[in-house]
This record gives sequence, C-alpha cells and structure tokens, in this order.
Amino acid sequence: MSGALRRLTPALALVALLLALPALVASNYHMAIAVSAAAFCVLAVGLNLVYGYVGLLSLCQVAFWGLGAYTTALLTTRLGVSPWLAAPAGGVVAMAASLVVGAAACRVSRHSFAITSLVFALLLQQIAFDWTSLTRGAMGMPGLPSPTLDLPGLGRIVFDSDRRFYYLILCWALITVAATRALVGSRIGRAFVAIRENEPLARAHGLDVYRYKLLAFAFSAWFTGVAGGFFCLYLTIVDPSIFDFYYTEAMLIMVIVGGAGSFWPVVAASVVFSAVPEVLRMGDELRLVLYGLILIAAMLAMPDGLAGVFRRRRLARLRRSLAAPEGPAR
Amino acid sequence: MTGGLLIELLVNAVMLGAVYALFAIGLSLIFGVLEFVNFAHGEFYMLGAMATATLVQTVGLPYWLAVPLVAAAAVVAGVALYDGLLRRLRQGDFEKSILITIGLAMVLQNGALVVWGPTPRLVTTGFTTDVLQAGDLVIPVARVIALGVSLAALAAVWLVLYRTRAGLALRGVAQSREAALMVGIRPHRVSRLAVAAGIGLCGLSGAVLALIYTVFPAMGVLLVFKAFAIVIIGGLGSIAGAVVVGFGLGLFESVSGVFLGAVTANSLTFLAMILVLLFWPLGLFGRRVRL
Repeated sequence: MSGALRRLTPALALVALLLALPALVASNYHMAIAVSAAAFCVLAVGLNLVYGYVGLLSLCQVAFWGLGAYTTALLTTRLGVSPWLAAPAGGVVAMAASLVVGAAACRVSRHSFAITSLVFALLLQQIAFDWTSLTRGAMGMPGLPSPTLDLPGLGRIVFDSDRRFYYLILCWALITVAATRALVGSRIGRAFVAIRENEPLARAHGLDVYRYKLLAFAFSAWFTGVAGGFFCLYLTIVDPSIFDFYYTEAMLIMVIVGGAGSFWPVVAASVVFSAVPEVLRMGDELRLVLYGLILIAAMLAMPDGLAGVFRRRRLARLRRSLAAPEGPAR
Repeated sequence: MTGGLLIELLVNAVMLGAVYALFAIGLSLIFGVLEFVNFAHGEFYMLGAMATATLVQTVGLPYWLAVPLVAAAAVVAGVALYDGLLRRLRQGDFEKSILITIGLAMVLQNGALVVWGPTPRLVTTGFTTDVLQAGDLVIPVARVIALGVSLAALAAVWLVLYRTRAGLALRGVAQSREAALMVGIRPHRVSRLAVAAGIGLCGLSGAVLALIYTVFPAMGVLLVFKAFAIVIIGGLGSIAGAVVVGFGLGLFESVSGVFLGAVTANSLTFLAMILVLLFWPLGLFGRRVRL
C-alpha cells in the first residue's frame, strides 16, 4: 500500500501543479498556450496509441478532431443542444467515422492504410469548405455557446475564459491519459504491441488483428473527437482550418520526437512542442519549415525518439556498472 | 448539349487525364521500385509550376524554353532527393519514408510560402488568349499545347519503360527486387532512376498545368489527394493502373464539373477508393505487393 502510494506521489504532485497552474501564471496569453498544450496532449496520445502501439500510421486523427468540432458546433447552434451533450456526441460521430474508414483501411496493407487515412482527412476539409449550406464554408460558424456548470451551493460556473477552459480541457486530457495508459498496460495493450512487432505471428497466436486495430482506431477517435468538440467551444468558432494538416504535422512531431510507442515521453513532448513555438515567436511558415526539418532529422538520427535515446543510454550505463567489478571489461 | 461543347469537354478531359496520369505514374514508379510512398510528390509539382511562373513572368523566358528547363531541374531534384534522403532508408522502412517525405513536404510548401507568398499567380504567354475556332467549337490554344506536351510525355514514358534496357531494369526491380539483384541489376541505380523520373514527371506536370490554372504554394496538396486516390484505385505500383484510372478521373471530373459540383466529384472519388479497397484490396490493376 505504501509502495503504491510512493509510486503515485510524483503523479499526484504533477496533477496538483497542473491544477494550481492558473494561480501561478499571470497572463491570459500563457493560459491560452496551456489550453492548447492540453488539447495537443489528447491528440498526441491518440496518435501514439494508433501509430506507436499498433503500428498504423494514421494521418486522419485531425479528421476526428474536426468532426468532433463540427458536430458540436452544429448541434449547439442549429439544434440548441447543451455543450455537455454536444461534445460527447462529436466523439461518437468521430468514432463512427473511424469505424467506417477503418473497416476499409485496416483490411489492406499498411501502405494503403496511411494513404487512405490521409485522403479521408483531406476530403473532410474539402467538404467543410464546399458544403456551404451546412458548414457556411470558409466563413465558419461563429458564436458557439460557452458551457455552463451549475454546482449546488457554489453557484454557476460559465466556461468563458482561458483559465476556466484550461480546467475543462485539462480534465479531458487527464481522463484521456489515464484511460489510454490503462489500455496500453492491459492485456489488450500487449496485443497491440504484438501486432505492431509481428502481425503474422500475432495472427498465428489467435489474435483477431483486424478487431484490435479497429478498437485502437475507434478508441483514439473518440477521445480526439470529444477534445475537438471542447476545443471549438473554447475558440467559440469553427471553420475548415480545424482540419488543417498543421495539426497532423504537430502531432507527428510530438509522437516521433517523444518516441512512438513510449507513453510518458510522448505526453511530455506534446507539452514541450506546444510551448516551444510560442517561446520562439516565429512566423507560421518558418515554424513549419523548422518542424519539417526536425521531423526529417529525427527520423534519420533517432527513429525511436528521445525515449529510445534515453533507453539506450540507461542500458549502456547498466552494462558499464555490471562490467566494472570484473576489472577492465572486454 | 451541342457537339461543340462535347468536343471541348473531351479535349479538357483528355488533357486533365494525361496530366493526372503523368503525375500518378511518377508516384507509382517510385512505389513500385522502392516501395516508398512519396508524400512530397505534390510539392514537387507545385515547385515545377511556381518555377515556370517565375521563369516566364519574372525572368521573361519563353514558355517553350521554360518547360524543358523546369523538367530538367526536377530530374536533378529527384536525384538529390534519392541520394540525400531516400538512399539512407532500408527496404521495409515504409513508415519512415512517409514521415521523411511529409517532413520534406512541410519544408518545401512553407518554404515556397516564404519565398513566393500565398498570392495565386497567372502564367501569361503570347498565346494565353488565343483560341482555335471552328464553327461553334472554341478551344483555347493553351489547352491544346498542354494536351500535346502531356501526351508526348506519356508516350516517352511508355517508350522508355517498354522499349529500353533501363525501362526493363525498372520493371524488373518493381517485379522482384531479389530476382533483379540476381541477374545483375543494380538496385541503387535503378532506384535513383525511378525517383529522378518520378520527380521529373512531377515538375513537367506542374509546368504544363501552370499554363491553364493559377499557381500558388498550396496547389500541391489538392493534386496529391487525387493522385493518391488514382494509385490506390489503380493498384499501388501499377503503371497501367495509374494511366487508366488517371484518364478515367480526368474524364469523370470534366463531365461531373458540368453536371455535379466539385465537392460531389471529390467525394465520389473518395467513395470509389473506399469501395475498391473493400472489394479489391490490391486495386483494380494491383500486383501482389510483397509485405
């Protein structure tokens, strides 16, 4: 019991720090960065599950994100549905889309999977631009309502500022991280890794590869879709740029530099890479040029990310410490 | 519908189809030989178009001189791409190849934005406003030239692939890398040739379409979407598939441009891709891809 407590202490301290962050940070500008970091954390964890654990290079996570956002926007503005119902509904729509696309794409080679997922994401952006009667096209849908929460005895909380939205999206990020961590640590998570490492062998061991792939895909789509829903409520507007390839590129950087298939390094990378561009204060184009260069360099120099670099270093140290007592090794 | 409109439609369809086919052949060739998917394919097409615009508008070169220059520069870029990046990857590094080419696409597209800015440009030449007229039939000269150049390029590709030793080597490696190695084909050379030819075709399609459409740094993304659909439907790595489906898509888009909206055309293309994947996972002309 005390061992479990000791293991949980750093995590609890971190959560406490995250909760206290709005009190420590003065400016709304920095709070806005924290909100986008929390959102990117959900995106990166979702992509890491699908790519890092199962080995499916999904380039349509941004489609789930945008589908969640558009569903939430349409439900709240056209039908007057409560934001608390609309965002989960967005997650459900994203999950349904993932099952349809996944049903086709998971049956074929991983080559075709990557391409199909990319084309799906591009298609959704086209539809958001062109189906003006539904989405108002490039003008977007402004004026999304702020979620409100009635707490007995505490009055009503309206989520209308960076600080308040930070708590909302942080909660969702924590739920996503906890749920995904539980999934990858379970028997199912080991099946995912088995599929990634050697699909024919996994199949020979009786794993229903197709269903596991769909499960991972739908799981990540659900969390990503709900995050997209909450994020568009935070922006109070949704337009086709929610499907921008920029999100995919940022997610890829976070997962690759963190280390695909390692859990906490990717979470950390998602926070770091949300903050870095703000610190550097570069123009969008130059930042993306830099991101592209980082992606290429990371793929060539450290394909398993920082997590891999640290793992190798730890192993080398361990080997040295084992070799030392026997005098000069080798 | 008048006969004139029908012929205009047909010219447009064949021209679009030929350019799609050129572009998709490059993608298919690179996949067939290296088993890598080049996600930066659209960006080389964009660079070809932007370079043509710069050469014709800013430098003042005549169009007929700009096209071979751009195509040659694209071939050089292809060699650089192979020797600089793709050569370092091993067989089976499929995801790595995607991520590297995505990184490259980011660099090229946003670099182009920095250099040229986001404003769409027009390539105007002496014959931009000329038309061929016969009765009620009106066809812009630019489209006829684009049609001629792309059909000639397609014929050249066919000749190289099926009538030369280099083409034989390309097809051999695409069929079986190990067997090709055993009969003395050098894989690195053939791979370099495939990438150079693929990127060269990209640059050429960019130079050709620059005559007809406005050019801007994001234009590659729009075309690569279609090219991916073409190679998936046609079968990854199948040259014949890329040609047939490329022409099919050109025809379909020209016709649907009249009867349906652009959205519906794109959605139907995607739907067709999903259906093909469900029922013929290797594509309509797919060969058995080794995995």
